[in-house]
Amino acid sequence: MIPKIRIHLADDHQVLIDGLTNLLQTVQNFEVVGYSLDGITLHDALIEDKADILILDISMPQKDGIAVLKELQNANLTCKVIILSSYDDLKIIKEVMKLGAKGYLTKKCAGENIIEAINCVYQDQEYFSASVREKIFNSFLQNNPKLNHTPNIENPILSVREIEIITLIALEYSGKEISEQLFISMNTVETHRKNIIRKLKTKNTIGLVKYALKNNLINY
Amino acid sequence: MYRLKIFILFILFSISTNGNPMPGQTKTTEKEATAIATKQAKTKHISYLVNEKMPNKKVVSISVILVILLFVLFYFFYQNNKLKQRLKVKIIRKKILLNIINAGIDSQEIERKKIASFLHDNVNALLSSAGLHLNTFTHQNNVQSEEIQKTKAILQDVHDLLRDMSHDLIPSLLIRFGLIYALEDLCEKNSNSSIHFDFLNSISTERRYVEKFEMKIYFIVSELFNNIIKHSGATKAQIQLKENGKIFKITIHDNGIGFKTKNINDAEGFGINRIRARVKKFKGSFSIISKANEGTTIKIKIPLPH
Repeated sequence: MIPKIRIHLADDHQVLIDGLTNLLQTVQNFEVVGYSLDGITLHDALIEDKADILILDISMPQKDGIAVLKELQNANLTCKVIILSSYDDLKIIKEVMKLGAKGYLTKKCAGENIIEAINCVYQDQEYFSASVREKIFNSFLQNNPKLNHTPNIENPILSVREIEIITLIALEYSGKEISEQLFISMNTVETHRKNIIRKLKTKNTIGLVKYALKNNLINY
Repeated sequence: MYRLKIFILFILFSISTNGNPMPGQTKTTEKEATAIATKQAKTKHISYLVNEKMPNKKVVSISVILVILLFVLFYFFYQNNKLKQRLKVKIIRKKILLNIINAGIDSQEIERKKIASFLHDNVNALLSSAGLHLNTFTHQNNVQSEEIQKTKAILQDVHDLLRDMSHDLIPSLLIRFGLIYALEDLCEKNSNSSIHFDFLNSISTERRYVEKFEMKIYFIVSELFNNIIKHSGATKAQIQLKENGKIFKITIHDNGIGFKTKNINDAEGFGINRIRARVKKFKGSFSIISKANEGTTIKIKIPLPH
């Protein structure tokens, strides 16, 4: 049997915790092992219930999510943090990712993505909810004239994230630059790149660029 | 001072009365003279009378002079007092006005915070959990219903509206990451194709101040930025932040049309008075240097809160 993913919730609203617990319990391999209503007791609670994933709100009384992240950074816990906040300001996202968060969800679409996010982060990939991801990508390439801004038609083979990665590779950004700008790790970039190569059945990066040109992802 | 003046004046007058009889004296002598003598002997009699009644007259003249002097002095004293009083009233009136402005701003800020935290803490959480329960339901029962999709979309719209509104009330960056961070963001957000805001800062972005101080400064700067955007027609503006010992310095410059510095007090529409009141409350200084077509420079210095 696959081990269950142990999840700890931290939010100062009981209603939200109840809602989340309800939703997460519908998934077979998830187990909500505990919750905290403030940031103060959180650290000890995490050690106690050995959670794999922490769903963390930023705005909490007394000790907010940012302070908790800083504490966890020094504490050397294996627990991975997904931020669930009503903030969707790019700067806040950037800061919490710098502080070691692995995922960022906005509360407005929490229900849709949280299961996917937990699975993703559990497998060591960063996860952002769609609107956040779009925001990050757009702010990065805002003024790049080579980017084709025509709305992407649903791609049958590649995910939206993969389209972004392939676009950036075609625009000659290095793996390091991509990882920095999209707030994801080098590993994640590499995984995406390999997945794309596999999916497109090409042999190397040149094939990716050809695909990007052919599908008008970039202007040339 | 006053006593000395009186003394000197007194001496001067007494000297002059010895040499030259005062007009008041001649009047009294004339009356007596007409009563006694004929026209021809008039002059003789006068000189005689003057000589005869010398000590008596002196007392009269001196007392008359003294009364006049006292009256004059009293008049000046009274006038002076009146002026002082008027000035006092003026100062008090100004202070009251300042207090009213500040109280207005204070209560506005308190309300802002109240509403923002209410929206963010309560309404938002309730909305999110409503969405979550809806999701749980669809997940469990595997329903594909257009109505539920619509409901979800509406919930998301409400979320966006709420977020925008609470952001307008108090920017989340300000609360979470502090003043310097929020001001940098303000520059970026206000920059567009027609105007660019430069952010020059020599303070660590992680520096935090008392919440009240941060909020006040933030709203002052955002109001000044609004003025620049609305009225100056500038294409470039910059804000410079410095912390110098115990003083927080803000310099804002733009290359817009500027205005006559003389008319600042008339420029109520620019909210300058409000800003001045706020700066004054923190015991800071506020100055505007501007000339027509040469842009505007605003300097604000505020002592740091403890």
